[in-house]
Amino acid sequence: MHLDACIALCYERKLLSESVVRELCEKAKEVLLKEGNVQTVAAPCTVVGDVHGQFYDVLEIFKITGKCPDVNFVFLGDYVDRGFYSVETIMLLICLKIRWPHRITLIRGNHESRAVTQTYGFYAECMRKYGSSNVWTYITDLFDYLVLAAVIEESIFCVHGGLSPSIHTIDQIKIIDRFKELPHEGPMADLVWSDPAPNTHIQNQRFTGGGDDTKGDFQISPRGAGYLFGKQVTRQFLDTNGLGHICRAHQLCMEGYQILFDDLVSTVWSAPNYCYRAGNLASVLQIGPELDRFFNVFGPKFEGL
Amino acid sequence: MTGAIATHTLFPQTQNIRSTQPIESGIQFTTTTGSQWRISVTKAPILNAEQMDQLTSSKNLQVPYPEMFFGFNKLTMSNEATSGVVVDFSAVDALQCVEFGSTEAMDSVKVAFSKEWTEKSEKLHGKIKQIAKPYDWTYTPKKYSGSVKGPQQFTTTESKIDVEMLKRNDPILWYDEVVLYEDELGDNGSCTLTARVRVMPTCFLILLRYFLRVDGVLFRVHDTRLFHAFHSTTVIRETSTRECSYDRVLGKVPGGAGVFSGGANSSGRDLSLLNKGDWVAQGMPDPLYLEGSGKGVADGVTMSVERDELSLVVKK
Repeated sequence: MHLDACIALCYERKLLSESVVRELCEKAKEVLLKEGNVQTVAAPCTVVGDVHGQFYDVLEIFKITGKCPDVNFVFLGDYVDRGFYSVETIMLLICLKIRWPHRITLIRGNHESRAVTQTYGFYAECMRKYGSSNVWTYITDLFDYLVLAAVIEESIFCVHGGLSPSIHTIDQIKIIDRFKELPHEGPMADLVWSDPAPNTHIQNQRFTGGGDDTKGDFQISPRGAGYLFGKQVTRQFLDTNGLGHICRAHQLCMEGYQILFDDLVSTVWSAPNYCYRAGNLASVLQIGPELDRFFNVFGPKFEGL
Repeated sequence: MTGAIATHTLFPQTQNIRSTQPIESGIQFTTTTGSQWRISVTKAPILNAEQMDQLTSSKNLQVPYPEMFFGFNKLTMSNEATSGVVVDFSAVDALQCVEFGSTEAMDSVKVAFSKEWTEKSEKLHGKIKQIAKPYDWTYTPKKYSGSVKGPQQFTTTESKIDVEMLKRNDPILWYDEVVLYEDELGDNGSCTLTARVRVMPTCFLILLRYFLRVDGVLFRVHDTRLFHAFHSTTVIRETSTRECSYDRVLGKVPGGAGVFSGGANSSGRDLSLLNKGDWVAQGMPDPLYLEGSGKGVADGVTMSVERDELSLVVKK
């Protein structure tokens, strides 16, 4: 099938047949295999956070910012699970990736995983729409090829979750063997799972006491696995790599974005009214030619009603 | 036995579903014995950062907020005009019951792969410490069974909820459900706290349900039920807790028994039922069969139940 025809079908939210999905996933793997773990991206560009199968909100993003290839996109991951249209959403993005590989970067999020998608909806959606798990298998196999990070104009580091104590330099990310299911621990897990430590600029409000947290080191999550990264380690990472800012997704925020650590880190969230009940706004981060950052905020399209 | 709703009205009559302001909706009714009731739910979007900061300082809240914190949301049962009694189920009050900074918080359940993770982390990054003041990241609202205002307090009772009245096929005059908070636990499971209510011609029932799944580890269901039959002069409260292993529930998912594999299983399986608190609760024994207040273990589920009641003394 002709790729442009697939793209047109995807934009109409049509379900591609199982064999077409298989073929497209194979093609996308060939494209992604050529990409390093850390993609370099030119400005101006638009950074998109979690979309979670909210297909109509993805269309809204294209309406707001312009479509591929007119706009250079960086997607920060979490394309599937929770929303009603995970298959349609990821297939649209995969088609765009094959068609214009240099105009769209797809970073891996923690939901681009076999483990997570069995519980949070994508597996069930594939079974419901196709009557078998084949499509889920093709797409989750493809997830193993997604890149781990991007750097915009040698200045803005883009990743799904955040920093890892095992990673000091971008080169250390480049040498990870990424072609596998997301592990529970290690640098690859940290990149997709870690969160910034909650605001410590409000003295002793959310996290009190002495210790390392007030300085902004890494901390261990009370869940017993996973790291929180503080302001100091963020500054260190940026300085070491000659970067200015970290743009990540992974955490819901009512305003659609959040700026942390005196503007060293920002969170972009692109799924409005998350799970069709949170009532939150969403945003995309538009980065201009001079690397000026603008959070373009938008509301839900009420696809769930 | 007499006692039924004589007149009732639902409110509000119209509303803007796109509003971001809190919206209160509910039912007002007067019973044949002249008791005046107002039961409502208040709903709004999750709090924004500014609202969180305000709440943090005004209530001295220390626990980091759950991912979806509906800080305006609550369910209110009011008999104020008649007896002065008001019981609230609110997101803010529930969050204040979550363990923070205590030994119990420190010892709260850990994710399935915590042990191997911690060993590796200690070896590689020995100087990285646990956060200084840990909190119960499962957001279990320990001992939260509603906030009571008025002249009376709940006292221990042997009375039970009249299940037969609830089983009757009576019309439901009003039903609603409100989420108070929800967290996906960094995709290690999920927890939700919801309140719901149904009002029938002769009684009403309120259920506050906390549901927790920690993947590969456990399930937890904490219920608080408030029941009032209009022929009676008391509100009965039954508070129950249930906890069992993850694998016990996993074995009930269609597709055969199984054990937690960490999910690397490439053939895949639909585990989305494990997100549904009501489905999980239905697969556990009902703790309400336990007499009085007590604890027990049945069919692999550890349970407890407590019963108390609130008397509705007519104000002079």
